[in-house]
Amino acid sequence: MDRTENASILVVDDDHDIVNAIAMLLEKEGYRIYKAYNGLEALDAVTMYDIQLILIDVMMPKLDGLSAMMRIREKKNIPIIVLSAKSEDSDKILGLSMGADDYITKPYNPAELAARVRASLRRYLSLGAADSAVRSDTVKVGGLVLDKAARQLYADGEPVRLTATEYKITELLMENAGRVFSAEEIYSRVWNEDSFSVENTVMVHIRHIREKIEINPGDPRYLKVVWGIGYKIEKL
Amino acid sequence: MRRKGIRIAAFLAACTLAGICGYNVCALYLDHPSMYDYNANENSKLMTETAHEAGELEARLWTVGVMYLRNLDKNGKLTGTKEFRQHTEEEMQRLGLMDSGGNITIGDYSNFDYYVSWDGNEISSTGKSLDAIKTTDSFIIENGEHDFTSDLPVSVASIEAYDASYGAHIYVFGGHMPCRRSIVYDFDTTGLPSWYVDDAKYYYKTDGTTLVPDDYVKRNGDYDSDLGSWYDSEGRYHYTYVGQNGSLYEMMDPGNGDYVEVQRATDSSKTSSQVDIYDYYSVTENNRKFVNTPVNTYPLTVCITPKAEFADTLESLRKTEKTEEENIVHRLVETLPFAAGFVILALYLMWASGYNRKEKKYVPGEADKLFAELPLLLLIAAPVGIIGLITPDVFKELYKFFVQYYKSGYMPAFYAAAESIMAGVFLVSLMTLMTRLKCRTLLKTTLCGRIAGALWNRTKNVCTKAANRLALREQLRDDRMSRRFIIRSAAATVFGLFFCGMLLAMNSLPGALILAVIIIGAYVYFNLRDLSAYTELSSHITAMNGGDYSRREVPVTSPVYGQTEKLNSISDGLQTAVEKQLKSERMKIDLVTNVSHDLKTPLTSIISYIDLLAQEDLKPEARDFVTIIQQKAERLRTMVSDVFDLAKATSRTDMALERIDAVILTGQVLGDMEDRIKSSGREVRSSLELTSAPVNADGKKLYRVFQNLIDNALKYSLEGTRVWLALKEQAGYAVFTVKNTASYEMNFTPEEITERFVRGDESRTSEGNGLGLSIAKSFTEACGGKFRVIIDGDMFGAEVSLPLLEEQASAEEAVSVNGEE
Repeated sequence: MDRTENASILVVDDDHDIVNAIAMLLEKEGYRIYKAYNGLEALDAVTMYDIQLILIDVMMPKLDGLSAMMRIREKKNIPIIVLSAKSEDSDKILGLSMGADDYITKPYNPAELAARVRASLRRYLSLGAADSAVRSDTVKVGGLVLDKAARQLYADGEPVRLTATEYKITELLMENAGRVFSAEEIYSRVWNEDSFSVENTVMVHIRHIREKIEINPGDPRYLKVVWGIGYKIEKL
Repeated sequence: MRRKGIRIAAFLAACTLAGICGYNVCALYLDHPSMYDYNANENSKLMTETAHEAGELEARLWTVGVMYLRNLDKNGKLTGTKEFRQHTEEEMQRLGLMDSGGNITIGDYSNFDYYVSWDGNEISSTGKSLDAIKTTDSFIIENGEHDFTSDLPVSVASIEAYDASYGAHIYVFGGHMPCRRSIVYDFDTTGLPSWYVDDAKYYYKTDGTTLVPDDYVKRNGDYDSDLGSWYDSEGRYHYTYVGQNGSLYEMMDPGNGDYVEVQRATDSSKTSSQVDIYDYYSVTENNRKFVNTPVNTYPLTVCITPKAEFADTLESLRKTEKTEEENIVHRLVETLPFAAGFVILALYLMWASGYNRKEKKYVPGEADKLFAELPLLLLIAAPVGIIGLITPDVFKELYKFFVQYYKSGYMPAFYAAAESIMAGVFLVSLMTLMTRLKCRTLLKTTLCGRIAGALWNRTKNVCTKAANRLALREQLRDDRMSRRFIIRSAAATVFGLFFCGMLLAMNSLPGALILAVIIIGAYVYFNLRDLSAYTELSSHITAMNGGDYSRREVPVTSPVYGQTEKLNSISDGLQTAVEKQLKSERMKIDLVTNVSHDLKTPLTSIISYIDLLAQEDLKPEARDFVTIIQQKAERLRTMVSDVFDLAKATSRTDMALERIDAVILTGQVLGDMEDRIKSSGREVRSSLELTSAPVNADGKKLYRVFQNLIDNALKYSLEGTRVWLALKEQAGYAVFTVKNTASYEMNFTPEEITERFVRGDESRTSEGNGLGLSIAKSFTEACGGKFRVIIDGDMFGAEVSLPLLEEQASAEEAVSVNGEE
């Protein structure tokens, strides 16, 4: 836990004001901040300093964020959060598939930004050891870890308090990550009853779970609603 | 004008000349009644009577000679058997040549002296010898032969005596006698099975005394197949029959009993001087040989001489007649110049008719516009009348008429008038026809021509009108297929009707059928060939409709070449237009994207620094201000995001259509919004009539639509009222409706409210940016649905209709599709 407190973060954006704002925001959280204003500077900073996390913009002069990220990925496995004004799904998928750990769209919510930084750092620093020892009764999806023996869910290393029903739903979806479950299916498997017009009920539970495990429930990272069909937990 | 005067004068002159001719001819008739009435001439009558008398006398003398004088002995008694004498006298009496006392009665022929003798036995009117009676005027038969030197008109044609086969001498009495034959003498029966000559009563053998037994005489003849039989002037028997090959044969007995086939000597093998009308050729065995038999002579003499005073009368009559004939000819010749003048004037009028001096060309007058059939008819009728009027028969009838009702003296005037009127009619007809010929209006002015012309014009008009109405001409100019079809149909019809009709007329039904099959086959083949080209064209259109704008190439000779080329040019135009539109659409998206990025960057800074500011230690007032700025910044953020989304939806990019269930979606939205519904203080009543409503839509977008509509209803409904939500099926559509009671007066139309940035409450003080319904509408339409706003009093309703998919597509499929995401 303590290790995240004084982690070094590199903030890369061609807009100085934004860099400063982020720096001030994160310095208040206790991180050490390095600044860079384009991709090349970012590469220099990564080689010069010991950096645990990078916040990087996409559209920058000289070397754009995505290219810089790919170069950095060649040497280092530190978490990289892409910060971009491009908000389309295709942009997000591109960023994540090129090695980004998270994708935050501008204009961001400062609190959310801070939370995501924290979560990524925690995943990187605290759980890095745990990664190697994967136990059979543990299910892991991205930053979510389900300890089935203890019936406990950890989100980015932090324990989450779930009700019995919520736990069952989470377990079902995590064990079948990537698969879409209809409300009826979830209902019959969790409640063990025949279902009829249960959409509302299931959806309410899903929303509650989302509020507990997601940093931004409006833009969920793990538990997703497939509108008009069902629900799933993304396979990460 | 002068020309016209000349023409009128010429016309009148011609008519007058015709009248003069008519007058002359009529006068001539009146002066010489013999011209039209044979009986009117005393001379002719006398001449005829004389000839008739002479002929009768000759026949009687001849018969007396051959029947009576021939059989007298030196004492003037009849020779032969009693039976023979009795028969002869009986027959003489029957013929009126002998009275009951046995005296010869020649008859009363006071105008003639006559003489007849047979071998010394003679009878004469004066008791004198032949020499005393015979003059240059006499008609004489010597040795049985006629002497035609006399010009006394005597009819002797039917008096015949001749030798027949088997040695028979046969005498045929003349036409003036009561019967043609009575007794046949000198009949040699040697080697003769039977014999028959017409209607003779008795047949005597050559010795002149023995009657031929009845069984020799086979009445009704041996020659049943005869078409006819006769004796020529030399006594040779002829008969004709139809041979087995159907040809007509003429056979002749030359006198020796050997029949030969003969032909009349009409060919050139004999010179004309050698031939008389009774010469025959034998054509037996293809050898042409002149058959000649000697003509027997008889010791018969007949002489008839007109008495001296009668001869004088005849002579004077003959002279009078001759004078009259000369007179008639003379008068006719006198008339000829008038006729010639008429002809010349007629020719002049023909030449001059119709010429207009002013216009220097031929111009048809009013009369030349009448139907030409009338002058044509008159042109034929007038000469018939002109010539007919001067024929003897017509004159005779007219003469009778005039004598009966008027006076014959009126006739020349009538003739003059009638002839000149008819000549006038003839000339007028001739002139008008000539004028028409010169003006080339003859055919046009005939009734037939005009009817034909009118019919043709009518037909042409109808066709033209029909063609105009159909605008066929324009259409067919480029439409080679239709043009070919029409031409082909017409050709097949005409060709088929003509030739099939001809073959049928020639009674060749199989030929007509074969031809019909060939024509129909060819017609169908060519039409099918064109149809295949049309099918290509059709597929071209279908492809274009499906978005394939590539060019199609067809050969220049193809019937759809023109159409294909037009389609190609349409394709090119469309393709350009589509490309242009796509380009502009892309540019628009790029613009919106760039603008939204440019807005987002400063917005990011604003939000960041406000957040930092909010963490500062501020005075309470300043904190309130920061809070307001924070709210507005947040609203700006949503707005920028919404505008971007809206632009994308309008251009239909970034759409992920898949099979989703509207029922599930509704439940999910309601569950998702449960907290907001609760906090709003409104109640949501939902009625989902369907258990599943599969539609093809982008789930995220449709979620935004439903969310926006419910959100809207919560925001703008009157406190304490209920929001009604329904999902039902309607005519193949899944219809999602949200209804609420508005908290304000809705003074806008459904169209206005779905415009961008239009809000129900004009003050714009409340939350929301006016894009909610606009986004709902755009997203619905991007999903292929229909969006409708219903305003009824204070009731506000929004309706989303999406086409329902068929049920059978399994949910599994939908799941697997999503599983890949």
